[in-house]
Amino acid sequence: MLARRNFLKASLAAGGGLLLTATLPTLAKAATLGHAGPDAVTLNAYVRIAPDGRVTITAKNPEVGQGIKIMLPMLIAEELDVAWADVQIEQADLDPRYPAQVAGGSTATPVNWLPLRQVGAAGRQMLIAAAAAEWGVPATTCTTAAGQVMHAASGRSLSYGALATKAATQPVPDLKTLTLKDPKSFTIIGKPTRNIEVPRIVTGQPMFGIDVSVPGMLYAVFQKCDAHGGRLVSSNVADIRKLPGVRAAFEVKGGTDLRGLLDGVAVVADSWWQANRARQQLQINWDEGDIAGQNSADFAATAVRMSKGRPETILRKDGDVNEAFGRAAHVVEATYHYPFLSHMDLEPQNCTASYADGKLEIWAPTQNPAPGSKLVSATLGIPESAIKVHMVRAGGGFGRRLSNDYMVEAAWISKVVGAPVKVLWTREDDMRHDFYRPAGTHFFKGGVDANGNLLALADHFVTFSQDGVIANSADMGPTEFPARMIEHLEFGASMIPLRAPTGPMRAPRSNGLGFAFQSFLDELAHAGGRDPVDFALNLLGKPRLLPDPPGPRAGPGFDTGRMAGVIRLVAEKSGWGREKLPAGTGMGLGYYFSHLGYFAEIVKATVNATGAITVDKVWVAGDIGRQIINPLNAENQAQGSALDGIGQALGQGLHLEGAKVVEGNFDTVLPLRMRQAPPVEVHFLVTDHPPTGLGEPALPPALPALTNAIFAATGKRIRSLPLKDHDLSTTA
Amino acid sequence: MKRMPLVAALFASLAIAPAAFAQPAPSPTAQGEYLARAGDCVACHSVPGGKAFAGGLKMGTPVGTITTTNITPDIETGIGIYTLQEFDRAVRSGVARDGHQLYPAMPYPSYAKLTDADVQALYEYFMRAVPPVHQVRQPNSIPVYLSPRWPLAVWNTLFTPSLGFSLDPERDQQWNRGAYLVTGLGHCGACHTPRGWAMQETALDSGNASFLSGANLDDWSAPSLRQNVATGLGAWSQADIVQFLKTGRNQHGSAFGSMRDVINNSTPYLNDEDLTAIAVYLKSLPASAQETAPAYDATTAAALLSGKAEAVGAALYAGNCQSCHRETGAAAPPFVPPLAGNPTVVDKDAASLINVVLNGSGPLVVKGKPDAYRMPQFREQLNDRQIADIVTFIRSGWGNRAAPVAAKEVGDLRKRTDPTSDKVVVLKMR
Amino acid sequence: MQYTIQVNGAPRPVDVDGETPLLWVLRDTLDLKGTKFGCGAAQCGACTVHMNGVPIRACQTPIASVGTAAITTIEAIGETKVGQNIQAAWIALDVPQCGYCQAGQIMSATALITRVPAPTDHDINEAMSGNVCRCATYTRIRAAIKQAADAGRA
Ligand code: FES
Ligand code: FES
Repeated sequence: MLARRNFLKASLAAGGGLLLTATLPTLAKAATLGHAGPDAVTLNAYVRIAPDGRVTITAKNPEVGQGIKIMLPMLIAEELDVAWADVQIEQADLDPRYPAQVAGGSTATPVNWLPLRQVGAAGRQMLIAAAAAEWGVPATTCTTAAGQVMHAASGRSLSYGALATKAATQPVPDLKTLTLKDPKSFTIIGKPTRNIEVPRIVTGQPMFGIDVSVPGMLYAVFQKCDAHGGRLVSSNVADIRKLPGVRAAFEVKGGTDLRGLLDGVAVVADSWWQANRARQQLQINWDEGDIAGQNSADFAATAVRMSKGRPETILRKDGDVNEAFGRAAHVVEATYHYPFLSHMDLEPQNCTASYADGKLEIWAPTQNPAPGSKLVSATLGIPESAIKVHMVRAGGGFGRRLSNDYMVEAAWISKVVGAPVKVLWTREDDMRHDFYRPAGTHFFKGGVDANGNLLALADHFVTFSQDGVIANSADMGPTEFPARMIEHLEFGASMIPLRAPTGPMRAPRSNGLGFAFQSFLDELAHAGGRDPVDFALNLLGKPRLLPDPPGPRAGPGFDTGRMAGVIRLVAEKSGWGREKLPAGTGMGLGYYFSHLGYFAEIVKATVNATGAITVDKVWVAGDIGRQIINPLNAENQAQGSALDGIGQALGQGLHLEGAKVVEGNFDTVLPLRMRQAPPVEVHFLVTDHPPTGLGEPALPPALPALTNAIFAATGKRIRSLPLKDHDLSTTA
Repeated sequence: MKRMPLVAALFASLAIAPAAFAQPAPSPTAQGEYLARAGDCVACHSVPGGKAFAGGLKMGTPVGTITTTNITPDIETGIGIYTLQEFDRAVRSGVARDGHQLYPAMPYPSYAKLTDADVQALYEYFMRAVPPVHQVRQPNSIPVYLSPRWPLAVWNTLFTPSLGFSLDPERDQQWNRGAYLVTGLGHCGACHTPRGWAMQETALDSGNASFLSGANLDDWSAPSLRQNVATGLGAWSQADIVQFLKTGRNQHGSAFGSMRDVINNSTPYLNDEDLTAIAVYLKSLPASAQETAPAYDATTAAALLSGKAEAVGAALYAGNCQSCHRETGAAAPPFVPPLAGNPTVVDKDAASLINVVLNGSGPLVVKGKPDAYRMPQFREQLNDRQIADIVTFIRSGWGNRAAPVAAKEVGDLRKRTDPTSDKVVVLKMR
Repeated sequence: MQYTIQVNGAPRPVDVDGETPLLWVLRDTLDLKGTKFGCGAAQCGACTVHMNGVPIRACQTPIASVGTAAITTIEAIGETKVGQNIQAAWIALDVPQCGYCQAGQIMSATALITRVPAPTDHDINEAMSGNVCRCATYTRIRAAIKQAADAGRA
């Protein structure tokens, strides 16, 4: 148990800084909050049962497309033992009764797997106790199924609806004494379960943040300095007030924390279009501050310069790499680079806030409402107890909505104008004011022996710092694969100061590191004349669990056998090495362990004479433990993650110039489109390990699998992304 | 003020100052500002984000890059010590104060037509109303073997008529005013008149049929402003022309490319009388070629709607362009320009069309207000072949009859041009 | 300016500036929030509606250009047989993730099947590539279009 608690604590720290130590007691408390409502009976903070037997289960976490609004209630419903068809789901507000209301780090499954089933089981036990009392029989002689308590000996049964009121008065069971279902008898968990929101989605019902409507609501836009952190000097805001529909326009003096309220000009109007049109006529003098060197071209030059010296920090040093390179049969040196990326949630950032009489009500499509509430409280000077945050379905998250800058903007503007206000960003706002996936450059050197086995590897990682410390999500751990697989290895890092804010994006760190390391390993496999699958299996060696070094990020370790398992599976499913591919077509492998999930992917791609890339197919094999909670959604998430990686690799990358992001819309940063999207075949390897999350770990292997496939197809090694910047044509 | 008599004497010898052109100007500086707008001085003598008239814009020419000068009245780095006479010499003759010959990127061959009064008003404006900016000019990058400026004097004797504007007594005042604006300050010919072997405009007024007959400058093909029915303004009414100059758009098309600078800084600031005069003058220029007026052909739209259009580029058009320009090619003017019958689309030179597909169009800003609809860029999304196919489709659909475009032409343009920015740039006059 | 546009079969008077995109008239004036805003530049398809049955991007359609054309939005697409089949296939295959793009996807898909009752992969690529799904549910969108097409011909 202790190990598990540690691991939970660690995995959560990556996704939002939540702690399990606080989680279990709070859950236990939530389970005790039973009281009878007007018609439906509230069994605990998660479950309400109506007299007709319909069960309303609260979905406590923010829904951003990961399917959590279905999945968490499935856990409760399973152990409560109700028919899924009788379940209604209600989105929770931000509420201290619920722990870990966050969407990030693929943590929801490992964090909630046990506790939410316990919540359901506690409810079931209370219902049984109520029935047993009613019938005067021992509780142990009662069973349940599909919303009924049964007493087999007497043939009696009572519906949950009939029992709910009495059940709510039963003592709350000790969570430790609860027996949970044998997974073999699951009727909901593990069954393909449709998203109950789809009927509303396909008929266009209002349900997203951008759709929120509050009586008397005005619309606002907020112009910030595109040079991140620039300060407002002056503006023609007085002229803007005279424009059609404009109700208010004012300057905002914000702070210096890029995650909080920043300097800017707010324009509030009767319609969003009017607000935005008026904003386009703003003329603002900014103090952009020191923008020297804050250009992509300068970063590239600096990285090269840094690579010539020793790394500023040594992250890991095993054996003697130089000695090993000296006796290697082949030594390869290569530089890999991946660009800054924007999350590009399809729904641009927005938030609706209504301030009145010292109270604030907020409707936010956020992945992380609790810090948002704190930020608003601190910025506006309103106690958190006077702030109500409703979590609204978000049109994508991918890590962007872990920050709550849009929330504090809406709150501030509403307070100034004294009316409900919806702040909505343009696509350009969204792309130019993101918390970017940091770029990174890896100066690699690797050596293989005469048999083509990896002997030694060195990486000088040139990354970014912010205010003197490593930029958010720009770090690399000492256990980055293939660390621990070989005797001679050295990781070092140097940092370039960066002004643009960075942050976690789907599979943070891994989304860039996976590309760089897995491509370079492929390069080394080829240098030694080895098949990449063989090379990988050989590198992984015999199945063993490698514990993580102690520290705040220590997890359950790395299981080489599980990694090898998915590599074997994906090789088998894809027919790796079994067929002769036509000229211009190749297959590539990528494998990566992140967010507790083991994934291996193979991409088949074709490059024609003009250099056009066709991604023919992707095979995904994943090991996320013994239980896939909702296979229907799991497949969708894995396909989406793999395609997200393919899209990034093909067409996405941002440039900085003078501390500003140059790109602003989808004509310059290209999202994946239907014509580029290959079929994705997903296979899960069920192993006897705790269930883990899925939103992220299927992404990192897709990028190197694609670039390695392009190498196989063309002999051209892709060492930087995106692919659209490479000329792969073979005709003049 | 002390200089006035001298200047007056000078002007007397230079040109007539038609009484018809005496504008009811409130003040010399206001009149000068108006003329500076008409001449679009700010477009070349400023950089986006920089101070107005402080120069610094790099202008590519076939012989190298010219950096425009600081024309604020700063004593050291600008024109603060220019007398009216020296100012006049620079504007109308292209000779700087120190006697060096200016490069003809400065349209002094056109400005030679300015009246004395207008030169003086401009002088008053620049000296009194423009704030001095201390900004040292960047050197030009003309190769040494080309840089001695003396050949320019030769250029001048060859190509710059020494006379100013002369009234055409056969025409009315309105026409003459239009001619004065178009051939003089407006320097429309700088882009719209073909240039000859030495980069000279082949004609400087309506006396020659090549005048404003369309040209290519900096990879933008400026269409003919003559009455050609397909590739010129033959189908445009006088009101269409006025609307275009005032707002950058009308039922026939929208301004983009280098014309954007003109709309963003110049013509919307002119009064209706002057814009009408320009339109009257342009409508008087006979067609330079016999053309058949485009007849709209509905089969293109029908084919696109069927989802089975087979013409080269049709599927690409449907996927990338149709959602704005519509299957009819009629789009939503004046907000989104039509492609059917649009002179720029059927221009013999497809450069502008290719350029705008590759690089998109930056915002048109009419008196500080940017337009609501913007052409995105496609250079990242489509390859040369695809863009060539789309452009070919557009040039031959809906009754348009223009030659196909080769992928190489797109590739060459791609290398030479940069994408436009979506950022709104307002070049401030002060 | 006063305009009366035909939306989902009914005349809807609106008083807005002529340059206003149809998207914002639908969403904010007429409170039809199903049509979404993603890019404002005809690059994502989230705002797709039908104009006389043809899919257009509402964000790039000035209200002044709409005239009397019949506008159909996601809220009414289920009134056609093809629209119903599409919606049913979307539900059956559990297509959406975040769901934000799906209104636009459905509008494009409905127009496609109405025109081409048995679309090939190529037809789907051409008709659907203007609609971005950031969650990348393309595999299921493709399958759902085929399922709806089959249902329409059954
Ligand atoms: S919002 Fe209209 S296409 Fe993206
Ligand atoms: S389902 Fe999220 S954008 Fe398509």
